[in-house]
Amino acid sequence: MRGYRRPDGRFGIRNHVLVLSSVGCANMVARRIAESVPGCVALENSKGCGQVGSGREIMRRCLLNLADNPNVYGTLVVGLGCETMKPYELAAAMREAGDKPVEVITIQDCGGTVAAIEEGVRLARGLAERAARVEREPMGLGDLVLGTNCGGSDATSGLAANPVIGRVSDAVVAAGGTVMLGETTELIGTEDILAARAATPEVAEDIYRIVHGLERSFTEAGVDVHGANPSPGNMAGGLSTLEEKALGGISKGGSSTIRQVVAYGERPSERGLVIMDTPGYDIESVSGMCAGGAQALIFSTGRGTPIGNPVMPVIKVTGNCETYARMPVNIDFDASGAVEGTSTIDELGAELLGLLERVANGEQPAAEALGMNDFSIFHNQELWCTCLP
Amino acid sequence: MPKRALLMHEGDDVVTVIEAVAAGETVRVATKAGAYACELVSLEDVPRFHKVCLSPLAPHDLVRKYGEVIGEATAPIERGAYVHTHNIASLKTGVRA
Repeated sequence: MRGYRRPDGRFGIRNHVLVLSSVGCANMVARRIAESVPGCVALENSKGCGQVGSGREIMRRCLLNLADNPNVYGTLVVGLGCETMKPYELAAAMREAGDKPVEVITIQDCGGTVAAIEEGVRLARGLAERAARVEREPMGLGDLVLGTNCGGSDATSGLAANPVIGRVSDAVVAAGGTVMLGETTELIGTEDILAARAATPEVAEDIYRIVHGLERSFTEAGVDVHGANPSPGNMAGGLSTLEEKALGGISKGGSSTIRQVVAYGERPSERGLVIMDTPGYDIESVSGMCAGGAQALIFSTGRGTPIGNPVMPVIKVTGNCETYARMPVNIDFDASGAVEGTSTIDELGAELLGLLERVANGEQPAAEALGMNDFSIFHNQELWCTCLP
Repeated sequence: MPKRALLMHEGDDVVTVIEAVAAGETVRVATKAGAYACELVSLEDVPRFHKVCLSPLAPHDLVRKYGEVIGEATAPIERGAYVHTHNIASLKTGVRA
């Protein structure tokens, strides 16, 4: 495998210039800039202002860490100017955190959107020209931080797709790399199994803390998770309960020791298998792992989902041969042989690992080739209107 | 030809049919490794990738798949019956009345 070596020694498998919007109000400008300069990707912000408490902390952590993702060469922060996520302060913190190039503009200081796009294009071109001079160098599987996610699950996800992904996860961990398992709602019912695999009593405690904490917040809010999770599609696909979905889901993390539990969008300090506390909503979960430093993500889907990510390639795996036949443009890997009995989980795992290595070297999985650039940072505290029915 | 189903773990109460099954059809159950486990007769129509009961369950009995608890029975469930949201429920979610 060959990747782009970053100043801190980590390797990117892509070499993007990030055009990062610090607030939704700057999204159009960020998008126009990125569209005008080859080598740039826009990260549009679903919030960035009007946020309070931990919502603001999560947003700030994620924006800083996105610039730090190894797939990113450098970042242009595009702000409006008056938002809670102060763009100049963000850019200064990014420069302090690493040796990557960082530029910043605001629409208000540029004198409107037209001038901001012009100035942004000029700065982005400069970054893209410098990025283009970086060449790929040899890297190992152990240099990878691999995210995992399930979406549009059906019963085949637990029978085939997730166990196959689990073999790849084990290979990455064995090589010294890192694998992220997330979607805390879909850990409910598996916490004892996971805690028994924790490296230390503290990690086990963290697993119980995030799972029981989430259960408690559902109960306290008087919310019935059933119907949202499993979703209507999950149930139509044969999943009856959240525990059944979760037991099928955790196998994508493989079988290794759980080294750490990290907060949403936080970069793990440990290598090996880690759990990130992410929501069950796929786009937010995938985006959190991207912020946490994942260079690639493998995504299992029984019913078929197109979502991707602007910064990291997302590889789609299904265990459902009908879905593979119905949505070939969106699915990269057919694991249904493990259901039909024509292949083993081990054989498919080796094949999927080969695909991951090719993708690391530049091959585009479906979501990347189609430009599926779905992105959203989880925002948890919304206190500005009552929104009562 | 009997229809095919998978038993994910020894001792599971349910199996997953890997093709749609009609009431009265015979289902041949294999283990994950592909070995023959048993045969049963489906009492109901069951969609592809949904579950059929292997061992009879009474209300509040724990239901096992993957060797782990996936919920509890909410009605009596016979061997060969369709198992889904109408007769099993999560122990973990939902606001209990």
